[in-house]
Amino acid sequence: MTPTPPLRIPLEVPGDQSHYVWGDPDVFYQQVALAYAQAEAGAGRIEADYVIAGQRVRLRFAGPALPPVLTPALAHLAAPPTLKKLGQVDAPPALTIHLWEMETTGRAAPPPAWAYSNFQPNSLIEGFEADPLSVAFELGSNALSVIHHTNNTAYYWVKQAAQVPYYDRGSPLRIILHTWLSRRGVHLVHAGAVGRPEGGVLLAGRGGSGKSNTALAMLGSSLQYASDDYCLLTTTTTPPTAFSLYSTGKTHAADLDRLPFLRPAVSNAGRLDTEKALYFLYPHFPDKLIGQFPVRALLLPRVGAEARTQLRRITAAQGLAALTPSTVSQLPGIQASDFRTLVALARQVPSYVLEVGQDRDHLTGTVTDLVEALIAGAPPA
Amino acid sequence: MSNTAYRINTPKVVHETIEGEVVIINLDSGAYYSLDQAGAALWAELERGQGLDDLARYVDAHYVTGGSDAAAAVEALVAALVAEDLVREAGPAAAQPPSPANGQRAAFVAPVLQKHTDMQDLLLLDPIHEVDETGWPSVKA
Repeated sequence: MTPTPPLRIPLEVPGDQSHYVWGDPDVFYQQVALAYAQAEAGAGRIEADYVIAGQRVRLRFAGPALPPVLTPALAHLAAPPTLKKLGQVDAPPALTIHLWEMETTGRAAPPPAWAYSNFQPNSLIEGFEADPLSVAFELGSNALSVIHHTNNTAYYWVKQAAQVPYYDRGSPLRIILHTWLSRRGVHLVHAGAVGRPEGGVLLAGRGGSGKSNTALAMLGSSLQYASDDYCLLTTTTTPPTAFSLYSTGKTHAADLDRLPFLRPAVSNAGRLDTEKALYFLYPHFPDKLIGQFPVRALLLPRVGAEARTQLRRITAAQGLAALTPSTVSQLPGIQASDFRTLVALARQVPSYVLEVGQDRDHLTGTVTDLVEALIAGAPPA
Repeated sequence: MSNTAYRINTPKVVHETIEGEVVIINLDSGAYYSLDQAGAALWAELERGQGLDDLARYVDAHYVTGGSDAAAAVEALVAALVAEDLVREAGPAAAQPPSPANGQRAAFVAPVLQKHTDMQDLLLLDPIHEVDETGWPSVKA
């Protein structure tokens, strides 16, 4: 990341509420952009580029407070530096996200331009969710996200970097990335993903079903890791393609006893009494991470009582019934295109229940054998 | 019963048929549903504008009801679809030819609308106590 000097731009209305317009999304967007510019003018600019599902995304921070909080989960997707001839410039990013916080920059986002009743449980703001603008505020994270779909520009604001909860440090900017990418045929899904370049599987299901433990256990196998919780999916390819988004994993602290090799990657060792263990797998396991692979099957882990892991083929509708509700519960609203992508996935690949046994070697062997069989074109019945 | 037709509540309701099962989502609420066997067939009939009476006749023509009350089962299914706002009343059904029966009739099992949810504990805003001087909420998860 390269610090650059503050912008020199005229700023005429810092904190001036006379420009405040109730209920106008365009004016709200301009006020958000102005507030960011003011923050950056005082605190300086820090930029970092990432390649996310093939799209170059630039994070532009006002000041140094947020990068250490929001970038580690994306570190494995950092865009490689380009060697340029004199006068040559980088291609512009497909999306630029501007990020700031109030504590060190002294700049708040403009106040809400809507009534309190317009805050919705799914985080989207009623009346501020139509193209070209999507506005969301996550209660709990207390993060404002503003996405302008025509400008390919987004804004993210929190009051304090320290208030970003651990689960958002592990999977930052979900709303912005989901909302922007879904219009480009790439959808955030609530699923783990493990495989190798020729193919892999998604691990779907609600929290507590065993997704994370299964995905993280596969770090000890010949397969690679793309996700334990959220990944990106497109069905515009045949077979569908899964993309890694975050190089993180989360488990209950007690699970560390079964996955001891993860101890060096724990980021919040001092807070495990109130938080799940959050692992940053990059740079600890750089060779075990994979950026994308063709999806060959949908697996629904279930924590089983037996030692051995069992696989059971289920119908496409049963697979979809596990994947869809848990994905919907994690998204700021669901669009028809999100739903149709999940349906297309279930149509194209077989679904299985994975009864996860206590024997970790048998679990990893079962999943590895399944992936090899699927790549060979011989899915088990 | 009357021959009232119902329309699928588009665009907020989206549905697909996959391996003979109908999967349905309400985009506003995020709630997800499925129908199989007779339920899936009746959804298809309902989509093509058949009324309640037509649906009961469809069951009698395509299934072995074994004395069960097809009309009551149809009415219960449609009531469940209406209660979930997946379909809405659309007036009297236009006369349409019935779907042809295709030989073997399966045993009729009264259809049930399956609802699948995984909604997390959603936070709600208390505007009096949880908004600070910036005008923004400070709600703890």
